[in-house]
Amino acid sequence: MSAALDALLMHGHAILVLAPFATGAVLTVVRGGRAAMAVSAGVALALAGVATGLLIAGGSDPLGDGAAALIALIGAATFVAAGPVLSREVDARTQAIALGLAHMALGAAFSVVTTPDMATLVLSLLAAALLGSALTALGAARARAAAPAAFTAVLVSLCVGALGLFGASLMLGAAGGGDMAAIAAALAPSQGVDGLVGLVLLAVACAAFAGLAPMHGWAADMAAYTLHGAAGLVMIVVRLAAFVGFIRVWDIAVAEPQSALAEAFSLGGAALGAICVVAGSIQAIGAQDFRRLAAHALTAQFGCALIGLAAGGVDGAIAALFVVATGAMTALALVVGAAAARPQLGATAPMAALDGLSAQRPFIAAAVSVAAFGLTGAPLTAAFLGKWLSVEAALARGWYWAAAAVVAASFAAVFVAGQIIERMYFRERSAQIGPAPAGAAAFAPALLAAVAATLVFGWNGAGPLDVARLAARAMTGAP
Amino acid sequence: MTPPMLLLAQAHLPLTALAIVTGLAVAAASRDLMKRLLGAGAAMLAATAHLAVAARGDGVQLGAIVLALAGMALGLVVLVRIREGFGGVAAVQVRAGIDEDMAQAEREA
Repeated sequence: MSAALDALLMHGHAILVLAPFATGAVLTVVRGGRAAMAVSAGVALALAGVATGLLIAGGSDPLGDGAAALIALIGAATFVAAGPVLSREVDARTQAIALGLAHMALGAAFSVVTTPDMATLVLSLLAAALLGSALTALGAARARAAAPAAFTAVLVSLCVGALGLFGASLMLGAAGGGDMAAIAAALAPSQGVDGLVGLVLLAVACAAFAGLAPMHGWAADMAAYTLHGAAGLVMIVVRLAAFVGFIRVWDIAVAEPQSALAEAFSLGGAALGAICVVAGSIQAIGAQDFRRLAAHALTAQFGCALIGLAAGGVDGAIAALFVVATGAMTALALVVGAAAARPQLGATAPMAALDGLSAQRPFIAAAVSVAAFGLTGAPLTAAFLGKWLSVEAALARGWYWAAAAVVAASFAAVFVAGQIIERMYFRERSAQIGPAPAGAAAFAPALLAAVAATLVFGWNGAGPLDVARLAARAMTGAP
Repeated sequence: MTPPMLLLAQAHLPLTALAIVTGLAVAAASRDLMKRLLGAGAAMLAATAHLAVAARGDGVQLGAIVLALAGMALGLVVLVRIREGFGGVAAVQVRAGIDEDMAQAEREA
């Protein structure tokens, strides 16, 4: 038993990447139905077990293992919730294709966060983004606007992928190999022009794949039009993986903390973070679609994380990782809430779909309310701790403007949360939207996980903070 | 290495950069979605070619080529869907159609 477990953990990273691809390949050629849904959810749950095991076992890459565990958790919750949603959205054949593509996207995301090779990271990101685009394109059967959203995503993937691949090849040439640790060691003493350009191109590519402002419009479009059953993977997992890729590139850029390159990246990163916070917050307030709102809110959270990361040091990195994790869990609750509240016949989730949700689905409305409070960074939610750490890191660096941006994001989120709660508790659902769809039980695991993460880690964040601390120390080289 | 090959080796990097910039410019500026896809595809293929040179003997070359072609194929399939849904592939026409859909959704809500 112990030997089997050891073997499982030893090959855990390969299993995380290959098992979803194999499952996806099988699912795309079979007919959909309950068996396909069950197999899909079962594999996703097993992967969550493997990823959690790898995290607990404590490997040499806490950032990759932590991100893989988070992605696996979100993936499992999404696949469990996908059953009743997909069966109402598309026919049986398309269901199987959607599940297959979603599994492959999950595998690509695992590959992004666990690979030590730079070129593989870019290719995996490109694969994840293209698979996400294909999932969005499947929504075109219900809303014709899904096709242009998918097309834009394909275009962005190809353009950004070109930049990323060119950057990776420049760094490969400059460092003589693709291993990220070797690249950091080779480039740190003297930044050649090729390596420098490659680094910047890679950072831009990862930022665009992560949907960081001002390159976030395509991510919001995809979130709004993708299939409800796959939205968690398209709008959270792919972006989360890309953000981890961005952190990897960042780690190479700031390998020499006092260098001009590290300073330039720090200031540029903080500015990009502030833009994300401002753009994401304002667009979340004005969003007419609930999933678009969630996508913009995630952009704002990424901005807060970026400010913490740019502030530097172990504390800044801890803040960044904690904010990203809590932001992803909040987004999960909002996306699943959107699927639970969606109109019976609609492919999208307009804000009006939230009207009167508390009367029809009180538990789901309560979970979405907790997520909405989490957006604001209210005390006793996990986001409070993350934002507090970000503000502290920015203030320690003397970046009052960056700290002000994080605080402003929280105030903007109050408007967003108020809007959500007002619609759910003080309005009546219109007849045109129709009653909330059946199958609410399938959403319970995702919502419970998100609510538990928001409240439990808001009360006592020791567990995730320890993981973030380990990852931050590995990144910064601090003892 | 013969002089022409040497010249080619030296020109490879600037030519790749030029091809990528041109492809991205076409993808950003064209009003026709087909031309946008071709521009993005050209940039991707140029980057793939450079990666193939940099990562000689590495398996990532094959992955890059497959993904570039798969991306372009996906773009073409989606483009066909757009033509069916919007009656054309001009960016302005598609934008007008999306605006119309959004206005209708707002009226219904």
